[in-house]
This record gives sequence, structure tokens and C-alpha cells, in this order.
Amino acid sequence: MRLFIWISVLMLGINILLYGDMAINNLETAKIKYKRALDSATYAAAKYRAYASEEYMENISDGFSENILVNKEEALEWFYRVFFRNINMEDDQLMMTEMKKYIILKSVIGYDKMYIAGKDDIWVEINYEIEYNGKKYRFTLSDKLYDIEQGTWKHTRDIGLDDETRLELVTKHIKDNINNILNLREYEKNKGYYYVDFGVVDTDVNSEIKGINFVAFVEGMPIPAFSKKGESKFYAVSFAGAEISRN
Amino acid sequence: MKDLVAGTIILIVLFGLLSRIVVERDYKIKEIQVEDIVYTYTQVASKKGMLTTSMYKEMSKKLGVMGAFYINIKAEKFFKDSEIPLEIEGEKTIVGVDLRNEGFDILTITAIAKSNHVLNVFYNTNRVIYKLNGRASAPVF
Repeated sequence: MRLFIWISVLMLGINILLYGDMAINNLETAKIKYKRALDSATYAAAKYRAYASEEYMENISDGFSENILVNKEEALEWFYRVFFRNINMEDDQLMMTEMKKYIILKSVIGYDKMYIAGKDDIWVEINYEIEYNGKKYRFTLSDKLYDIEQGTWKHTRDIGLDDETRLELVTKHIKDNINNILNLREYEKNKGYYYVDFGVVDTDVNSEIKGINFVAFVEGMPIPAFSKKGESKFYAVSFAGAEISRN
Repeated sequence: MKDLVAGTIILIVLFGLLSRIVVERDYKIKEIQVEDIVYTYTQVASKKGMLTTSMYKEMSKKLGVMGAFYINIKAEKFFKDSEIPLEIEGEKTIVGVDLRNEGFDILTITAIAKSNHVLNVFYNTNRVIYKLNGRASAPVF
């Protein structure tokens, strides 16, 4: 009889563990789903087919062929379209509104400035204003920079800055801005700290920001963790980006 | 006699528990595999701008190993002044069609199992129905 009781207790324990395992499994599946949805959505945001409107035709004929025109609103529209289709929510307005609360960052990393939008989709413009050797410059993604004090455009070699350090400085600036916005969430229920890394000092050249990008960060809908109080939640956090280029 | 009864109950419960573990693992593995297959073929088709007949056959064959599935393919074309896209749907309409040149924007492939998974026997709830399915959308531009 004692053996029966012990085995019953053991089986009950295994059952509880299995339920916990289901939650972790759901989290893993959600993570994969969000990551894939983000990959496809950021790709769509970066490569969207611009509507051949009159306004667009005017913009592309302005002569600045090196500069890529990015319509952030349109990019965001494509991002949402593809993202929601991947997670099967495109026909549910309520769910889409709810889900948007968990897409806590969207950013267009442009040539001379970046735009960041939180869950409310309001864009904030941030210049690449970086201090180097005691002087403030406005950097770009190329070797050109703007000397704020003198009000002139220069090349990085003019201020004795090599390419590697320039890339490091700009990437770090972009990364810091993204991380700051990601963690401005003191009123949120989820107090988790997020840290996004592009690998500034990495030897992997692909991890540096060299071109114009669209990046997004998703927390995912909270998944109950089967904890005692039922308050703990899992978040299937994911981050993705794609380089913007127009042919 | 008491020990025999206790032993039998233990064996039955243990068998049930083991069955649940096996069925759960089966569901988890197949769920990921179905997702993987659908995702891979959607991505390849989107990069190519079309879902070729050979790709569709290959995908159906791979899904067929996992069970019987309804496969739905949809392509959408968006317009500037409307959120309602032009949709075309179905194997005959989409497979082999050059979606990119036809101006379509998004390709969606959905695979839904024709029957529920055995896991429903263990989790008899109306809240969640365990059914293998995979869905992926990708831009074709």
C-alpha cells in the first residue's frame, strides 16, 4: 500500500512537470513562429513594392539617385500585413490591436538619421549625433559626416577617423538608441530588461549596420507559466531586420 | 490480493502516463515539422516569385508523410487606396503562375490536418483543439 502511495505521488509530480513542459513547449513554438513572422515582415517592410503614385514618381526623379527614399508609414503597413498573416490574425481587428501592444519597437535606420516607433506607432527622429575627440559630429552610414560647430560636411579621414572605428561608433549609437527605447517601459506589466546586440566589435561583417535597415522587436502575447499564483508570464521575444534597397 | 490490485492500478496509470508522453512528443515533433515544411516552401516560392508545380508536389508529398492535409494557397495584390486586396486562391489558379510579374504582393500557404490529433484524448478541453497545422506568408515582390 505504501508503494502505491509513493508511486501515486511520483506520478502526480510527473503530471505537474508535464504541464509545465507544455507551457515551455508553447513558448518555443511561439518563439519560432514570431521569429519567422518577423523575418518575413521586416523583409516586406524593406522591399515593399511602392505604389506607382504621382507623388512617388515625383520623389524618385529628384536627382538624388544615391539616396534611398523610405516611406516609413508604407513600410510599416507592409510589415503589419505580412506579420499578421503569418500569425493568422489578419481578419481579427481586435486581436491585431492587442498584438500591436506587444510589438514594442519598429525602427527605420536611415542614411543620416533613424526613426523609432514604439507600440503606439508614433515615429521619433534621432540623428547620429556622436562626440569624437571632444567635438560633436552628425554621422551618416557612409564616410561623410557633418561638423556641427563649423556647419560643414567632411569626410571621416579629415578628422583622423578610420573606417572600422566609424562603423563601430555609428553601430553603437544605433544600438544604444534601440536599447534605450526598448527599456522605457516602467509602466508596463512586463519589467523584463531587453538587450539587442548587433555585434559592434564582432569580426562578423554582416552584423554591422552598413546600409539602410528596417528592424522590429516583438515580445509576443504573454503565455501563462502555470505558476502557483498564475501571475508569471512567458514572453516569446524576437528581433529581426532587413536591409532596404530599391532597384 | 491487495498488492495485485495496487500493482494493476499502478501499471494502468503508468501506461496511460507513458502513452501521453509519447503522444505529446509525436504532436510536438510533427507540429514543428509541418510548420517547417510550409515555411520553407513559402519562402522559396516567394523568392522565386512563383510556386512551381514541382515545388507544390514536393511539399504535398512531405506533408503527406505527416498525415492528410487540406492545402490552401492564396496570393494577394494590394492597392494604394484600399485595404481590401485582390485575392486569388487555389492550386489550379496559383501553382505555376508567375505571381511577381502578375503584380501580386503576398503569397500565403496554409496546411490544416483533416483530422484532430490523438492528443485531444488526453487534453479533453473545448478551449484548445490539437490539430496539426502550418501557415506562412511571404512577400513575392
